[in-house]
Amino acid sequence: MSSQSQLESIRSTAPLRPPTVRVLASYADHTDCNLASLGFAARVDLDRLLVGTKFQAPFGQSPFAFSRGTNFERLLRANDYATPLRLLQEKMGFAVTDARTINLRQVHAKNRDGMRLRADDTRALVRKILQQHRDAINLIDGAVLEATIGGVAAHFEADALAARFSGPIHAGEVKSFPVVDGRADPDKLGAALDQVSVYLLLTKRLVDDLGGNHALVSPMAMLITPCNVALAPTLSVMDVTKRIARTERLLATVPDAIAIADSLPSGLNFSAVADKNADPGRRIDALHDLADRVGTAYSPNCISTCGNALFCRARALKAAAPTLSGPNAVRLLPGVNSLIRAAELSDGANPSPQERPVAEHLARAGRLYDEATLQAGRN
Amino acid sequence: MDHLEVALAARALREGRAFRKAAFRHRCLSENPIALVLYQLGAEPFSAAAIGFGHCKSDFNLIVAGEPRNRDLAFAALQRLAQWFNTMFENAAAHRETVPNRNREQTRANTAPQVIVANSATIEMIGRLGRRLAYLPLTGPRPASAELVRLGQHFLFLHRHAGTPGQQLIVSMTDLLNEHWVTPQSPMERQSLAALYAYIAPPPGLHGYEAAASAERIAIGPLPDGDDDEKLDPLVQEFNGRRNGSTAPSVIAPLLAPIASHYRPLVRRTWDLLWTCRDREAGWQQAPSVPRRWDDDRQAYTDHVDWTLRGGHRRTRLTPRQAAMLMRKLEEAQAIVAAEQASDDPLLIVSDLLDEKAVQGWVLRVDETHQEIVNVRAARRPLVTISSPDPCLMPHGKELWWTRTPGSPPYVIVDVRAGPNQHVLITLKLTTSSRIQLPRTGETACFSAHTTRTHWFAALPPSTPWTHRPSSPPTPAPIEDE
Amino acid sequence: MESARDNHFNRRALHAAARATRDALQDFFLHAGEEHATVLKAPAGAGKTGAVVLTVPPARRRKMRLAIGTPTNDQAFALVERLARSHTNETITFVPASAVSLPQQIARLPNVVQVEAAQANGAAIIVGTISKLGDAFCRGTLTPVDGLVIDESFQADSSRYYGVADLAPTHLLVGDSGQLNPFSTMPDPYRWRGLPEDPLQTAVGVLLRNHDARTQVHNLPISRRLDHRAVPLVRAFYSDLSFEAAVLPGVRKLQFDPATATSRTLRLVDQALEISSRSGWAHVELPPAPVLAADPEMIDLIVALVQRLFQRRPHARCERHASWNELQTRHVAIGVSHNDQKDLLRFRLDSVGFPEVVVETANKLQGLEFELVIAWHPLAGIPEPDEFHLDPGRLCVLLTRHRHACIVLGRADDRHLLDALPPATPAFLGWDPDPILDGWEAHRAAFAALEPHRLTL
Repeated sequence: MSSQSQLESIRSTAPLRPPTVRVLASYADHTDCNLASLGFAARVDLDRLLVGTKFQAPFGQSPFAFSRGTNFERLLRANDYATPLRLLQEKMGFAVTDARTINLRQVHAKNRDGMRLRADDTRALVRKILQQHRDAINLIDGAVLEATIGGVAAHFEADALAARFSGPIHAGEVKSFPVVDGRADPDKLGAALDQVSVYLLLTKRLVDDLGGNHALVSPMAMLITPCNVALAPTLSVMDVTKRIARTERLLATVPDAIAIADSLPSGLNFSAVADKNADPGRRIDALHDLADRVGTAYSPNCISTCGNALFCRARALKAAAPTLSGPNAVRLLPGVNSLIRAAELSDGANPSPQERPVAEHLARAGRLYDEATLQAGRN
Repeated sequence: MDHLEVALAARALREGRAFRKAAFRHRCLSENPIALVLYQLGAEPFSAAAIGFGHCKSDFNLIVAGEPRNRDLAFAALQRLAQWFNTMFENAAAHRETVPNRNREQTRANTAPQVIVANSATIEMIGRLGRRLAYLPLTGPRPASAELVRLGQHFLFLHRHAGTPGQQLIVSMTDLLNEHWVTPQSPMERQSLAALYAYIAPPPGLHGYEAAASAERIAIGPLPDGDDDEKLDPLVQEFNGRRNGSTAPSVIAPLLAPIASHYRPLVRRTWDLLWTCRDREAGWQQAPSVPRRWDDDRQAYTDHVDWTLRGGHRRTRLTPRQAAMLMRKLEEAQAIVAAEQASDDPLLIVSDLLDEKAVQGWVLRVDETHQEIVNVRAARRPLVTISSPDPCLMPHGKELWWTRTPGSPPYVIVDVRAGPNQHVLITLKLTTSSRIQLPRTGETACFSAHTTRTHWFAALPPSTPWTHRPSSPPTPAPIEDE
Repeated sequence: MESARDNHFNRRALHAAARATRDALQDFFLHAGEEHATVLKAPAGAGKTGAVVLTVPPARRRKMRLAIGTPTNDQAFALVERLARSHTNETITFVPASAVSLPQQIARLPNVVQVEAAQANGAAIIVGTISKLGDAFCRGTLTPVDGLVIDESFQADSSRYYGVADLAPTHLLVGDSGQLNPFSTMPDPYRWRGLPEDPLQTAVGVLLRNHDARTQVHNLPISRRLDHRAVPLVRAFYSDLSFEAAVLPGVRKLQFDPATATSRTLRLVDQALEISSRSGWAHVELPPAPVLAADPEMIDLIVALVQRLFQRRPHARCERHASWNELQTRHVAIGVSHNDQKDLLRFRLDSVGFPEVVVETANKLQGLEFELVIAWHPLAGIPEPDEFHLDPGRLCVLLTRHRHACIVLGRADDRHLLDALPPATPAFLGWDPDPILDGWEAHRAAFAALEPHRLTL
């Protein structure tokens, strides 16, 4: 069985999530979790997997949030990308008169074949750019880039725009969070730059593949966002060389999903979990089976980025794992692998040799707290 | 986080309920605060789709904008809020006391308004609304009302003031509860007021985790729940269809009912939770240092109102000098609040004891007459010896303050030696001969590295030096770009 | 300053350093009277203060009055002493902050005076902390001078620089970019990060941000403290600055009396001492284990190492001491990351009779120099690296304090923490550094460079 079909049988009837740059960037936070890696490679939509069970992820996006994003994008696409072109001229000094633009989403259908065709088109367009063709496109929207990640080939759809006038190829991400008085939300900005970095890395590889020099791809990432309180866009530029390097490491260190898949006994797959007609308890048990087999790596960060988070959190609760309280708690409890045990040690329970250093601190903390509580009660 | 907090988190997980980490309540809670509940439309950052407001639990009022993405409708809703809010907010400034301040006298409002909200995301939204409203033009083709602009200025002030350690003019319940309780939840999970409260007061028989897991699905705002907005979408479309481009109040008012009905239970739910949390915390005894910090809050409030009502405006960005001064002010406030809270509260000092930043023990001996030669002359330097059950890792010469006199000159450690019963005897020397209160033998005394003494700040020149001025000044962007 | 004829030194390095210093000073003096700044960047132990001291003769020749500022009091004291001893014909005027006073042995020097700001006006060479000079200038008690020199200008923050910048139109900023950045205890120190008004930018940072085109940046391509064995590792912290060791290979020698180890720990410690004396580095790894920051096992090891070190009577020879000199306890420092590590070590070392061995956090070790350093690796025993522990400045300080040898102590899976993917990081418009990603790379490079000198228990 080919690896592709092996992974498809693992996904089985579970909901599908095609890989996008956004999905890859958010998977980057979970490469240490085998269940997440398996889900990613098998293209399981973990956000929808547990719908109908008590662990269903509260990820429903507001239609208004969605429309704000699309409205902003529509604004930018209007008049043949007049606004981004103007920004490129003002901020980057590009010579944009008579720019040639294209939106590959409008050229092909939104299905499997469509993605492949867009990828082919993207290759062709970039080849023309490298050849310095007279009618090479200057602004490419809706590009699709290919990559093999964790042993699995995939097409990655990017939100970013690729721009090339004379000089290097630049990539720009469009986001609807605002830059207010020169400042953007640091986490949202970081995430957006990580997404452009994936795009830039895949573009570099494409350029290499086409025989070009990947130094032609600029590490100066552009970000188009609303400025201040209205929707009028502004362009910001940041050097993402280090983020591109991180993305390279991501692609190199992603665990081999096939190896994880191989470790599963045949017949163990996501279908039993996804089956909306089955008893929710049985569905959860099926996911426990998978999790027991391949292993998970829960931390509270997972809650905002992975659809399985509530399920994994419940597993952590069962074990009273310190990670429930965050990485600081883990750092403070070396050698103590359960919060229940930590509570006992804070009561003065006898420690094992490996618990001893931590126990000393916990017991002292517990004692001082109990004494102070008594004293406060008296006052 | 330290070992105390992790021990309490562990106990909280075991017991299934939160553990209190402070004996007192370290923020004042006004009798008649201004309560605000805000809801955004999706991810629209700069307008409110629904506003709940009032000054006591039974005084619940709701405004909905209908279509908050429309400037006129968004502003109409905020205008209605401004009419109520500005009066409530500005009233207190009318009654003043005179306060000596170095060489001059200044006035200070006798009391100040306190705004209470559910979470810090609401404070951020108040900041964004302030940013949008405070700089609106009062003249020209699309003038804003003076009231709306003033609302914006008050909101900007509150948002900026929120960053001052220990402040009490705008209190978010999540911050208030997190300052006083420990749960086993991660910091992010504790930003959900419903989930946090569920651990503090779980329904009988239910473990805090389970209570919190159900509660966290409850949207508190300002960000709406995706499913709720799915239900709202057709109502807004219908509303827009019916008003057909009009923003006239007579046309809009009758059409708002379905949207108001959608938001009422959501806003009310947050409202009720907000008041429940506030009322519960109000039951705890207030810490002794709180009034001093409230004095600072009152002063900041007075200065703001005076500045604003005199027509003063604030820049959208600080100058380098302002940023430098603010940084120092915040550093100092942080240190003083930590010192006051540790001195006030026997539970809060435990962290410092664990951290080797404090020592505590029975006072064995006080030698008030001890003397030393200081600059040729003999000076009184009282000695205090305490017996502590825990080892003391602090070196000789380390400066510490008795928690009852954190504003006085410090003590220094002069001797540490083993005592009976595996205790440690620590002798501290007071570095002044001034007659200040001393610990008494037989009582427990605690000495910590916290002090409320203020530092000398280097003065900064009023004009920007050439090094801090850009060589090519940036083109000023228009403030209001709507 | 070394004599170029002295056969202990790498002449090429000395010449390059002299040239760079000369160029920087020339640039500074050429623009006297104009609003202009010159930056002289240098790696750890370059002898920057020597460059500062060299500003005096040309200034006197041109009848230019100089104010020389440093971030801390201790740095100001050391500078006064260097200036006074190097220029015995010049009066060095020190303006102290209130409640601070020059140490006796410096105040006693015949050409040193200590006065209030108002009395310093008219003096040729004024020295003080940047805060004090700025404060006095702002209040009008200190009147402008012709040239402002700032030492340790990567440690000086923008708000302090703001206070003193108009004291003179022409500036010379000298500093080491590899060390710890300015920081604040305020609740949200990243509040202004990337914005021009950020008070936590370095003095050099705000200058280049506003006046990049007309500010000349010179590099001092030398380290006098580090020798050729240390330079390859330390280069990881100075990606935009290449440098060489001043002292030639073989000049620095550190030896220990022979000894026979009677336990596994002693054997390990002995090996570490021997490797470090040969290669200038040793990297000792305890077995992998999750541990507290103030790891008792590590503390035991450090105490054992210090005891064994002095039991074996360390003696050294170098370009300063032609004959063998026995190392004193005050020549040895232990660098840590956390106060509780420091407190516990201090307590233990005092109780076994080593009160003079220095134990300090990296923050307090900045600018200091020792013969031998024991560095408690910031990542030792951590389950997950974070910004604080990855900070390249912290590691750089810990690994650049030594003249002869640095023994790094950690646990065997510390470096494997860096095999994983760095976490997602926030970003700030207008601010390129990424402390986590920068630190990740620097730490990986340091581990790689330590590999040949590694010992595992």
